[in-house]
Amino acid sequence: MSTESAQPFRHYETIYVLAPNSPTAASKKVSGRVEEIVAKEGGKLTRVENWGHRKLAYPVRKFTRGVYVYVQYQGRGMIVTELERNLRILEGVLKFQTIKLDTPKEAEAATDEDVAFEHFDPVEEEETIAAKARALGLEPRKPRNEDGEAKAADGAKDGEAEAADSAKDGEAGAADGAKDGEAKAADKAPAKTEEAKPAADAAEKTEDKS
Amino acid sequence: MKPAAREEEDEGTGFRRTRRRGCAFCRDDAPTIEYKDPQMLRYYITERGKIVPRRVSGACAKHQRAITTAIKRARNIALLPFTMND
Repeated sequence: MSTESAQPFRHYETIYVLAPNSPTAASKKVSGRVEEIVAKEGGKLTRVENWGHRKLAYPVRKFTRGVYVYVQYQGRGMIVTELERNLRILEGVLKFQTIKLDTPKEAEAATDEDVAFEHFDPVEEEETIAAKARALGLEPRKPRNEDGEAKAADGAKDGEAEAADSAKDGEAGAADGAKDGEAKAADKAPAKTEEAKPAADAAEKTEDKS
Repeated sequence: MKPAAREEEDEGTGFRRTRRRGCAFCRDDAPTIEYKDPQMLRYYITERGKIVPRRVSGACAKHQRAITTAIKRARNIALLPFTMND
């Protein structure tokens, strides 16, 4: 395949994403193929990074996670064509993307460690179903009235806090503040449920003291 | 690394005063714009997943272009979302 054409030597990087449940054998097959193609086309692997399991920003073929592998290599453009053709065929490859690097780094000798592929154990996606249910709103929700109570309780707290604040103002010498507080508390009271009222009453008492 | 231009409310006058800071990527200690760094790029997308415009991001034309390209690349490989609907 490698023709002695006028294609210039360039630096490329490819990221490919494997399905999270792909067995180690499949992962090895893909990485083996990558090495093979790069070698066959007269290129050189310069860097391999294994990012491992990462969350996908959006589901791809119903997967919410993927195994990311980053490969940097140099060679002629034919490598990219051949590599992408193979990635399209190989099973378990969810996504891939090749970028031409415009600033090739100084050709540093890549050590074996730099170009070592790692293989991750397949992970079955247990959380997928739960995540889906949540996305579709099938998750059991709290009954409505519970929510209502929670809100009422919050309101009561707010009322207390405001009243307390204005009470402080009153102590500071400004009677206006205390009046404002009373007004606010009174405004809120009708909207509140039974539980909230005692709290408001208590707030009023504190004001009386001041 | 946050969007550079922040709008500040000027109380009383009713005007919005904007303090325009220079492009965050034109500084000497500028971070590199990399599509492989989704955490950094998240500063430049809205909570809906849209690319933040220049008037908000404060980036110069050159670097806004770089950001845009980087975000689009990151989207393509599922590092960043195209949309967020919640």
